[in-house]
Amino acid sequence: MISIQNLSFAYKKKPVFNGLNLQLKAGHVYGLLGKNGTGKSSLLRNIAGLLNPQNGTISVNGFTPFERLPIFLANVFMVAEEFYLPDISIPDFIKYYSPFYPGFDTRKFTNYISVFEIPAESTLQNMSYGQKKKVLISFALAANAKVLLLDEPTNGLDIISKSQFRKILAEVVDEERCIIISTHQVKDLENLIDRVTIIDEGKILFDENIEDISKKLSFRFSYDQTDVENAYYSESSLMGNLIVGPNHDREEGKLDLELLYKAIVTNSDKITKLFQS
Amino acid sequence: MNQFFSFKRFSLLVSKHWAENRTRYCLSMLALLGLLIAWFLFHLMLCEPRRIMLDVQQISYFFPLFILGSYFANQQFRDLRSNVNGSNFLLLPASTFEKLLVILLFSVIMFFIVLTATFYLADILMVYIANTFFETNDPALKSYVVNVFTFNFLMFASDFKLNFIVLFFVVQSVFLLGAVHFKKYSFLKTFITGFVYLILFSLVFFIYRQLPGGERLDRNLKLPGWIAPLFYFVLYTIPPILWIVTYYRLKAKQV
Repeated sequence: MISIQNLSFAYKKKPVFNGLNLQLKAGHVYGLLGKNGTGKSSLLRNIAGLLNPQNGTISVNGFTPFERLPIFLANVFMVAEEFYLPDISIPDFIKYYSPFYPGFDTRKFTNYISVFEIPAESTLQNMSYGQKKKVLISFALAANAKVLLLDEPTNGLDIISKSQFRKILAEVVDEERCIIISTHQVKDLENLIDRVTIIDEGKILFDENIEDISKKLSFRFSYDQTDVENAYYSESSLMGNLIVGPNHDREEGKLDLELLYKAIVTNSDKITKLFQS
Repeated sequence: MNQFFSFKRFSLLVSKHWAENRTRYCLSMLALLGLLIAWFLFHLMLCEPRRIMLDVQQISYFFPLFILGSYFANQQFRDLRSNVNGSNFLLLPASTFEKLLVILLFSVIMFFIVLTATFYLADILMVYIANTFFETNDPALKSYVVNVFTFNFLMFASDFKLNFIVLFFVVQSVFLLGAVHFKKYSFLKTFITGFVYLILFSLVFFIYRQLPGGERLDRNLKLPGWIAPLFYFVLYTIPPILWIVTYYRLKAKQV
């Protein structure tokens, strides 16, 4: 669905990607993780067609994003962290924007905004940031785009709304759709993501599915000093040492994305070897 | 569906543009109407004998046409100045050609029609008021409605005449291109760039006048027969050429 090969991109003199390769398939929810400024948003903007790579190729549904053909744009929806909504009412927003998306489902949109508890007749400019974001997310999901790019989707959402967002997003996952979520709020989306992709220094540091991660790594508390010393990552807490270590039993355990991220960033070589073996 | 132009998508874009901007456009038109009426009233109060002279009417039409027109053209691509609004503009599922066409429709055609209609609304009303309230039997002292379409400019010593309105389309196309080309301070940067080109253009004319056979005749420049039509041809082709350049700049836009 999305094929990125040898991608190089730079903002004037600041290089972001240099030879990045990544394959993203339909039917998955990808969690794109990385430090600030490592290029997560830039990658999403390259996929959406807002930026043009200096080298390499990107193919999305068989299209080159930067050509920005209407047929391509109708099937890729990006919810950016900062976004614009016009100064019109929600019914007008649907009336004037939805016809551009042939797959748009008004019934679903109405359902989503009612789940988010947004008054259907509100004017967009009178809403808070969180409410606007909920309208945009509802629109994005109702547009039925094949590729959904979400950049920090839970930023600005209250606790209840985050839970509603997870519920709605879980409903729209299907075999034909590829969802990429760039986030720092890993806890918010832990149960939704089925593949973790970590970017660091403009390269893919880690790209594995949740099933394999759970089989190969264990996330647990340990009081055993040997365990702590052999762990890929450990941090002390009031309840003992929280560690990421090899999963010798090969039984799927509970995944902690935050710990996984810390482990990979601090000990990527060892973890990469483990997954290559 | 055609990926370059579809009338359906174009109509959707027009409807969307109108829905998002109609309040601003209508208020701007009313403000302009009010300003023109106030200006003509002010002129009537000061002018002796009390009439609205044709050259005042011409200035009252062409000044807003050029100044507001340039500003309006510059504002059409204001979305591209920020990544947030620019993303919304570029990611809307319509072709670059359709998006540009909508901008041209509103900033060039609609702006020209609405400004001209607003001007004539104020002008006809004020000429009527001037002739009704300051009645005179002397035809020379009466006010007449100006015909802005016959105002010619840069009349060379040849049969070719240039309508001043053509220059509006040239200036408008320059500011549209500037709005896409420059991300920050686009209005000022376009103005400065245009000014530099104008100086260069004037310099060429100045040099020409120094050449044998290029002497001035009254207010008209005497030019070889082939230069005047060529000059006008160039002026007429500038807007479409700059629109094409704007299209390619828009197509290559990154935010």
